[in-house]
Amino acid sequence: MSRLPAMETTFPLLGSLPPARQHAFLASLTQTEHPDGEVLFREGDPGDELLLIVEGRVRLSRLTMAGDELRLAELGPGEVVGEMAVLSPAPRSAAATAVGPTHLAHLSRDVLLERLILEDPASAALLRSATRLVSERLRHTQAKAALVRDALRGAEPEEVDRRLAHILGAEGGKLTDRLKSWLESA
Amino acid sequence: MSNVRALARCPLFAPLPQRVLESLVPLFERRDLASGEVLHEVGDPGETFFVVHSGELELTCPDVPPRSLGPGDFGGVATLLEPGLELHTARAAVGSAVLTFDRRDLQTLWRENPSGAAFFQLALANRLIALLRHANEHLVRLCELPPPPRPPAGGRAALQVVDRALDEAVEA
Repeated sequence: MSRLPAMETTFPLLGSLPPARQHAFLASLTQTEHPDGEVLFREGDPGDELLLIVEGRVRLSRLTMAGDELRLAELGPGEVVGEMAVLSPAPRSAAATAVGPTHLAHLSRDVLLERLILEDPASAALLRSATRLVSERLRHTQAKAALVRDALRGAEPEEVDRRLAHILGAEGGKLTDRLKSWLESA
Repeated sequence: MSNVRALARCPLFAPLPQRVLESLVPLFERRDLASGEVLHEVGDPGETFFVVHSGELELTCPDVPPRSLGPGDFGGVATLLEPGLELHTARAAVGSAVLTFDRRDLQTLWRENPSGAAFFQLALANRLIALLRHANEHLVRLCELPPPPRPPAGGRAALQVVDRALDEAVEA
């Protein structure tokens, strides 16, 4: 399917490319339509492509140790799923589900590499933005790890929950699930 | 050892096609360090990526055991991509040489050799992603601490594991 995205949708991941060039890039990608509730991929599925959300929304979720669905994020038009997978393939760390009728454009790792070799400016812009995003996320994750490490350093086992609860703030829900959610939040 | 061979020993560059590697080499500057000489100190503005060409560098930072870098090892990926401060002091443990590449060089590379820059950027991104996945795996351990009531001995052992894991995540 090659329906063009709505002109008002732009993709921050494509950097400073003008909207017209973003749209030309999107139009050159494989596109798919999904009904509400369709599972796009499951946690643990092989992941080597980036999904650009043209229309609709995508919910990311993970199963807790108790088997409940933990909602991580809901993304909308202009946002992307799998910016790490397209650079470095790995099993999906979360499941993705369409929320409402959803239109996606797909960029696989192979297509990205071909276009980088051909010096395609849109692919280069995407690579640079995705790298910056990963770099920011790494710093963020390391800062949280440092916060937890410093809070727990020297703690007796029976103090752990109290110290973690102090970092996590408001009460409610199982501590380990709240902790996972906090670690994964932006 | 030639600079091409020195870069090829670096795991970051090993997968790159030979022609790409050769196109990157002229942008690296070789710097010789006498034993004990400092490449950079904690808190310096971080702008330079480096690969150890020969010898041995010692990386130190407060509260963390020192690490040793040998030929092919590297540092400074994150500071190459965005401004920041050096998190370690890097000092030559013996007479050593490093190949350095700074943020301005990367901008030049994008202008003059976009496909070479793309391969380089992809290698940097893969390194960051590996670090991020590693950090996330360690943080998951924290979420898997045994639930209360934790036996004091087992709980303490689990905490020590988590403490080491978080050290690794922070210093990755």
